[in-house]
Amino acid sequence: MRFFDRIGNEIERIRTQVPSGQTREYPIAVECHAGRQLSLGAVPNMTIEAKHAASPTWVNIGAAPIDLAPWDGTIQDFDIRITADPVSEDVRELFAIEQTIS
Amino acid sequence: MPFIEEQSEVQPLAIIEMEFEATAEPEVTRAGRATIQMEFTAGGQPSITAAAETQIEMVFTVEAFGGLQGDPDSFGEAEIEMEFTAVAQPQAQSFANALIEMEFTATAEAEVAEPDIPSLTFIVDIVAPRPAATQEYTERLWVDDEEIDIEDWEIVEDPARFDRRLSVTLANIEDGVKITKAATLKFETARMVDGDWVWTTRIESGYAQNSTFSISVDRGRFSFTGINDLRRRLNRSPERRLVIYDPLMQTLDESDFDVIRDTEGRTYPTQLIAVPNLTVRNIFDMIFRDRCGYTSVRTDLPVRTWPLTRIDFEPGTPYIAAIIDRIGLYRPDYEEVGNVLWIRDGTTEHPTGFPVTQIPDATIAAMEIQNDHYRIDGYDVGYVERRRNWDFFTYLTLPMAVSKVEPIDFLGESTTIQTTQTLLEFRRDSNPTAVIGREPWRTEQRSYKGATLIEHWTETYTYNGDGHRIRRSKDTAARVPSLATGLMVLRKIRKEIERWEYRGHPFSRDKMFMRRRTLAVSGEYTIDNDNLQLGQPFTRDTMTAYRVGSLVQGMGIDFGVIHVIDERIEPLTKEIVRIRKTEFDMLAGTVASDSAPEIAGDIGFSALINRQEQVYVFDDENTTRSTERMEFFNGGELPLVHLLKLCRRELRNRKNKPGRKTLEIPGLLDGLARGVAIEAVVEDEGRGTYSVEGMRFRGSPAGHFTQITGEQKG
Repeated sequence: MRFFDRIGNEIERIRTQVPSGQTREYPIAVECHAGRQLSLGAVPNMTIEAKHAASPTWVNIGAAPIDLAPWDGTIQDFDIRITADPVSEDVRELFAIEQTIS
Repeated sequence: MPFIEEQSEVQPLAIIEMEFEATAEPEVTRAGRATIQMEFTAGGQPSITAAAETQIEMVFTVEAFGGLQGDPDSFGEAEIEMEFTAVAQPQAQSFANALIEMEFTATAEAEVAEPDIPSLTFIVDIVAPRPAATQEYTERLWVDDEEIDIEDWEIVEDPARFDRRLSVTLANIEDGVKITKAATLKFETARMVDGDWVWTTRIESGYAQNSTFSISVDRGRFSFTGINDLRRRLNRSPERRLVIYDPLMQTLDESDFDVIRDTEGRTYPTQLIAVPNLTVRNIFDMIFRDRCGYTSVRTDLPVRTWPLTRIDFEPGTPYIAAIIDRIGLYRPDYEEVGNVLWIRDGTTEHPTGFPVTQIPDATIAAMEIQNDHYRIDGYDVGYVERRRNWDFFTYLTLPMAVSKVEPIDFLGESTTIQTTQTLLEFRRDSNPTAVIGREPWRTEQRSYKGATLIEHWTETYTYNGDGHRIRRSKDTAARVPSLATGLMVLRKIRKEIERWEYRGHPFSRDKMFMRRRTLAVSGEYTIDNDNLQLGQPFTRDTMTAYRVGSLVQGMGIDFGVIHVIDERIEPLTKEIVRIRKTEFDMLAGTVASDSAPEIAGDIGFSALINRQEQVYVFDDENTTRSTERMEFFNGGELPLVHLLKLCRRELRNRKNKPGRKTLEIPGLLDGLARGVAIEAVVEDEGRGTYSVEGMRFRGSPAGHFTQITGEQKG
């Protein structure tokens, strides 16, 4: 139930910048277990999406969490995508992608 | 659900004792580092029939504890073991037949209150578009809303400090008189966009820290250093000593703390605030929001799951100092955004493949890279684990000890003392065969004169969850004459109840001390209505009356409190202890003795629920182990599940990418913040990702520049 970068280092926190109206992608790896899902609370000023690295479809995990059961017991590559809303002033937000109990 | 039903018939002068044990072993999965909440309900429903003058005393003690066995496991599948021990000791002191029916039901429910929810936290700056601008810049300084001309300036954001410093040389040295202690400073810079200046506030509500006036041959200079409001707000300190603590971990009382007075006689007592299940999140809210005036505090530190036992704030010492003492291991970065305080983890890495902010080489005037070649294999991590010193206890019943004294001649009688003792042996899961502590639980002693039992007593101790004794009871039956018949009868004649209370030590954050000890001795006493003392019946405990030969048939008897000792212990400063001891003669209604000596010594002892532990941490679980170059890392009360990740991250930061880069860029760079990853290339040299750690802006007639200090991480 941990998060890693793509070379196997466990990661907990990310500090990043996204220009207004633009998109940034973050490749991660997730230790998957049945009974858990990738989810997210509401985040203003941006859209957070995720997908399995092998999947072409991005999912807004704030609205539809990704069930990790299909990859139970394995570490899988996922991508996180942040799309910033257009803003006229700099905005700072904090959010956490969680492996909640499904 | 354990269920016990007991039915007993109590004979005159009998003591009935019952006990039961219940064991519950709930299994909690996917809990990781979990907090267990338990409910224990118990009910005793004694019903008494045909019990004239019956007195029932019930003692019911419950011990319930649970915890993760073995190492913390963030993979889930943790197993929680818990044990309940309940002892019920109904004691009937009666002179008639009594029938006691008792029923106990107990339920235990384990609830995972805080299941381990792994998370990946993002702090994201959405950078608003900047209009195309020329490399034209200007600046202005406001002192109490009056604009002051300046000659040159520099702003420094130092990662080692939680402030932004402005150094200014004034254009007109006469304006120096306006730079006062009470002056409010505002500093702005601007760049030219489409023929207009677009202003950016760099310092708001700042204040002057110091100023320098110097005169040289050709001219005079007045310069000063101003600091932004962040430092002033974080530098606030309490007016009186403040202690915020978790009442579930420590018991504190204001009366245990010294009251400080000023020269006018005003008092400054210590303020105690109890917060059950205290965490760093509570401290952030209570200090930064409630006392430093921020609207809120936002942080990516694991503050909600970071427990604290106690934190002390001293007058004259900034709140932030005590907080840094706890969270400093994350090398946090502090920043104001509006009226929100952001506290960011300064150890954050920038994983490979993550987007970084590009600094075009065309904009770089100079670059310097320093490398520290650390030699470190791992950390020797000290941390506090919230558990008792022991995991479980077992009972050890010693063989009966017999002590016999034979008579000097054949006419005499022997005396025999038979003692049976059961001990509690405290043990740990990691080495269950080793006994780490041994305390008495129950002792029974019989004394014989010849073959006649003349005294029989039973003593029982009760302990709290830390393993400290909190209660002792001793029941004594002795062979004394019946005042009704004159015949010698073995009967219950004396009962002692001793209690101990503990509190958190007022001067040592992680210690406790024994605050109070009381002893109440009850027993049978005689009432002499024939030989009055000043017109009142004379009372004396039966044993004493018998030994001094003043028992008379027909005397009245009763059972009540005879003697009381109340001992209060007060730790003073400089390791002096005051012990106030008062003894009451309850039959005479007098204070037998009263004293309050002060003695040297420290009565504090370590709070056993917080135990210092140690573990070696290497940056990779599969790395070749070497302990040649270890450094100590103090993790405090940070839960191990976070601490291990932090240590591994810091090891990677130090071992793999120890570079430090300084970039000099013409112009005033905008939209960059500390912690953001940047990548800069100059003539194909110095490739790599660096985290912005510090920034320096300066302006003078010679031009405007930005200097960025970056640290290579991960």
